Amino acid sequence: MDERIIQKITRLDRVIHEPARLAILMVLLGVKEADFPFIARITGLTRGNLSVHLSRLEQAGYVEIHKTFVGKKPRTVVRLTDAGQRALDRYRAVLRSLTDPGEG
Amino acid sequence: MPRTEQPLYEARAAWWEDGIPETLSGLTLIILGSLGWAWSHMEGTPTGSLLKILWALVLLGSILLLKPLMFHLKARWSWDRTGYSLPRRELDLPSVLMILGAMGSVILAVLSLHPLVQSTGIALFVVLLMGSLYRYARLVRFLGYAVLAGTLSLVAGLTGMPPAWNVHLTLAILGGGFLLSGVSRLFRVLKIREHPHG
Repeated sequence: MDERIIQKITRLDRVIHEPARLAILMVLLGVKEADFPFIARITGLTRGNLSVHLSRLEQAGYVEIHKTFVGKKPRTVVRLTDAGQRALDRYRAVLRSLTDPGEG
Repeated sequence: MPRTEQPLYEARAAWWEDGIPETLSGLTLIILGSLGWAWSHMEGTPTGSLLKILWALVLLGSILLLKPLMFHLKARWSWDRTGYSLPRRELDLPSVLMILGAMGSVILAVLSLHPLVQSTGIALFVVLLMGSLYRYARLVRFLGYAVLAGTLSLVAGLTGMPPAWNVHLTLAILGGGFLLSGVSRLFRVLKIREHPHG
């Protein structure tokens, strides 16, 4: 395999390079904010699984988790942070350069 | 990267899945289309003037009230069943160009004196507006609306229908499509069991 390709693969962000976490970030990229049931439904993850992955993303500073109210009902709302947005952009750029030899 | 982009489009499309935005927009378009249709038939009469004022009031009311009403209904009926999300309003360059093109088409239709240019302008407006919604969330039914309303508008123009009637008929038919689709989606969502909280 081309050495440059191997270097690109090793540069991939390991926090994002996990299918469940990538799916969560892509959902959050499409919305300003979303709650647990919404993210679980779109990604197909169980609540327990989602909770673990969100904690990992929160530790990395890629998402913010807030307890809030929508109407009179409590919600755990998740948002993509600017750092998360930048990390996701970088990750997608590397992936694109791997699939499209003309880029990167 | 079509597979990694899929959750992005699903998250964006979720805003329309409960049918509330389509139902409210559909009702507004039907009312505006019907009032406009009646007004363009009675132009120059006192009833026509009254209908024109009513049309403007409905338009203003919909601009001011549609969004808060949509949020209220979503909070009441939808978010406890489907989960809560707020859409991001960022548009890419092609979508911005499509919206600008739609606005340009309306201006072209209004300024032109040629019936075919007028009806083409109206058809282009609907097609570009629906096309930009399709690009945003990849919802195929918006392409259906575009084809339906665009074809109708062109046919109406070719058969010599006055542009004012054409606009209102196109709006009303588009509204009918929105309403049918929206109500059927809303009923489907209301059958889902509520979850306690998110």
